Amino acid sequence: MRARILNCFLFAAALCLLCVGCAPKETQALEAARQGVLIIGNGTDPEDLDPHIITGLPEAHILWGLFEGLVNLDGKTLAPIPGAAERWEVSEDKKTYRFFLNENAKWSDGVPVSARDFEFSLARALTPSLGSKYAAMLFCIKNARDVFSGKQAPSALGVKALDEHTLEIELERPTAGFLAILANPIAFPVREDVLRAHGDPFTRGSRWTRAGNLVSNGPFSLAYWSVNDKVELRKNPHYWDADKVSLNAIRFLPISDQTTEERAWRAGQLHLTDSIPLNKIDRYRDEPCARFAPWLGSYYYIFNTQRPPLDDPKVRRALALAIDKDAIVRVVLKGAHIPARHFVPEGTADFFPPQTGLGHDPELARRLLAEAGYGADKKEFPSLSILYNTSDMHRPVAQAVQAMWKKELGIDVALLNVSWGAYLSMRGEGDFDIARASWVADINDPANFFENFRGGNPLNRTSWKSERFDELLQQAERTDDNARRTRAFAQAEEILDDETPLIPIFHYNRAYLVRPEVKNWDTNILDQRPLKFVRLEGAQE
Amino acid sequence: MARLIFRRLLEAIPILWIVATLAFLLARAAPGGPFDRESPLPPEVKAAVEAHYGLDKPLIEQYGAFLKNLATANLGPSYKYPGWSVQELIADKFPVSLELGLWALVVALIVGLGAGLLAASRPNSPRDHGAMGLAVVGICLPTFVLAPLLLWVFAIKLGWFNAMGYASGADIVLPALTLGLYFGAFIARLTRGSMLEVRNQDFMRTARAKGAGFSRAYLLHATRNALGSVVSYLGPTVAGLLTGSFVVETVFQIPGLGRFFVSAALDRDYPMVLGTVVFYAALILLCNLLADLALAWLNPRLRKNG
Repeated sequence: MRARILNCFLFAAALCLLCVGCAPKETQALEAARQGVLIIGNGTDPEDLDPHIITGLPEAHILWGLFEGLVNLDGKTLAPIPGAAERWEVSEDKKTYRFFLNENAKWSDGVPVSARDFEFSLARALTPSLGSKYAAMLFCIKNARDVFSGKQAPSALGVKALDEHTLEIELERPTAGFLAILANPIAFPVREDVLRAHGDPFTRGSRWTRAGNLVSNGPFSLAYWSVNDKVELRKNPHYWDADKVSLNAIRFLPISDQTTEERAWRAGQLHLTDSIPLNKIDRYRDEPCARFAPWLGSYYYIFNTQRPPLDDPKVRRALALAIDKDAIVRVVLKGAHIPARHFVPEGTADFFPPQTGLGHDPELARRLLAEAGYGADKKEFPSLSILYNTSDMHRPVAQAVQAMWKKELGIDVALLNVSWGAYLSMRGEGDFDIARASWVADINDPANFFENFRGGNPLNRTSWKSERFDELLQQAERTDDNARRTRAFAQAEEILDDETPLIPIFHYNRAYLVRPEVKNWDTNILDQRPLKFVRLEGAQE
Repeated sequence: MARLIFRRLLEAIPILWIVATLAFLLARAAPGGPFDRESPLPPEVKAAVEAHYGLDKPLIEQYGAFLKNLATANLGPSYKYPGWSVQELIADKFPVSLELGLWALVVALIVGLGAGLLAASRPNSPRDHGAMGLAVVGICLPTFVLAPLLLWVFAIKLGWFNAMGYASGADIVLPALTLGLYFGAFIARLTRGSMLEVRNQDFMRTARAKGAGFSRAYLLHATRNALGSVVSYLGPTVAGLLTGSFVVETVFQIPGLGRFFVSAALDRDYPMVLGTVVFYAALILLCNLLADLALAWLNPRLRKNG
């Protein structure tokens, strides 16, 4: 008897399961498009939504919808266009900027955006106790460095609200990319009374960024945020340019697993993915939904130049020239990225790569190695290792490099695969021979890349130092003459190529999928996304 | 019975303290810190952030503060999610894992007990080989293989379910099956084994001799005695099921607690690591206690010694 009851129950349960799933349905993406809701796979989970605390791209993607700086950047050209400020004036000496705020600019609760909000926010971003990673981006503002290190009071900062709608910013010296900096989250406004309502505005751990608490001034406002679940933005009716905003809502899903994301894409649950898994590149390469957009990032190997034989530039150059980057990109990376001959990616503003560079020249590599005293009838090459963290990409790249060095130079290197935390700490402490590294620039400026190799910069893990190189960087920083900057950068790159503290391997593309309903989706090398202008075809107005 | 419960609760305190201390030391011994990144924070910024969380103090002082907070059930702020506290995140995510875990448990018990009883009812018959063959397949198919397989069939090919997410009720079916079938396979083998042991014991013959039919003797007398091993197995298993699975939550994109166990450790989010570990330990202790109570109910002999 009991067995029969159990059987009946089982059968009923199975039947229920089937019925739940059987009803035919429209894919989520199409249904959402009809409602004007854009669904984005947004990569790793956003850690915070405080513009002055965030450190990553997933967070920035959300904030570019929530907030608006004094200027916006054009989605295609990255040229500054009006944001919260409708126009601006630059003084003769290019050291004083006066911004005239849009008088219709309002926060998501309807309160007007004032120049004082920006005055407060820029000072807040530079508060030492807040620990803002990108505070250094604002160091071009007068006294910013001293305010950040606590040497001067925040009131000394060169940012003054002249009246409700006029803001004046004084700079330390003329700065070429200043307006572009203002389009970054670090320069976004936050409102003092909102922050104070939820605790101390100048420390972390405030609850002001929760849905319901957060007040923003951009085209969208925060409707929902749950960790590891989703962030949902809704159109902000108080936004000054609300007529031009077409989307009703944007749903950011933190899908950290690429395979899961690709599966959701195939099941019609997403309008946009964050990436394409490496093993699926071939499948999507020629489809119209796939985008491969050059990105301002480089993937490279660094040398610990204090450890022999890597202290010899000839050895480093030989190792670099023996690597066939084209083959690595073609075979290992399925052509998803761009082979690199230089550190700084082509397409970076004011950067024209020199003719030379580190190509593939095994013949020269063997000669250089022989000149350095290593070879068949000479010294035996010491055993070295390549340090990298666990990843589906780093391992095959390292294996390819290992095989190329063996084949071309007869050198054996070991592969040292460690966890993320161990990798960062070993690389940080200089406990490596050769280590993988990557850098994605925050602003469109070659200096942002070269900083990594400035002598004495803690970012520079190679211990390599060149006075000439540092001097060129300083020259570029001190001048607002574009031609001189460009020349200095090209020379700096030549020094990197000659002395080879690093081996550039490839420049990043951002590879992702976009559904055909998504219109006005512009791509640019910073991967800044002007969500304001994005439209969904088939949306019911 | 009350004494057993009271004693176990008292025992839990030193156990939790040891677990918390070990977790604290292990987390700190792991290389790297919570604020290390590919593009690192400027040193002065890192120092300011570490000072904010008291990470600049001597380790023993941090340990003292941690224990003091733990005693007042305050798990501290998450380093990774600066606007959220650890207990908030656990309170937010545990219900999701709990719901999924309970459904998976239902699947595991139905499949496991069903297949186990079926197999043991006629040992070495095709029915037995069939059920146990499937169970071995189930054990050998880890969740990270089964999940994509189920998704490929039911979400991509047939389109019956969403490929990810946790928005509608139907979204729970595939993850619950994935988790449940895996544990169900273990339960099936356990059930079969102990049923076979009990089947040939004297009291079974007595029961049959006194006129109990096969199904009554088998399902009532034998099962009750055979379930002991399954119940003991279920104690820690249930705790594991309810706190979520990293693999299942990642593959199905479910906002549960399971992912935090792994991601917190990788991110070196110390308070989150300690919070989840202590929470998990407490849950295991609780589930083991419940399992022991269930065992005592199943087997009167245990009650006396309790």
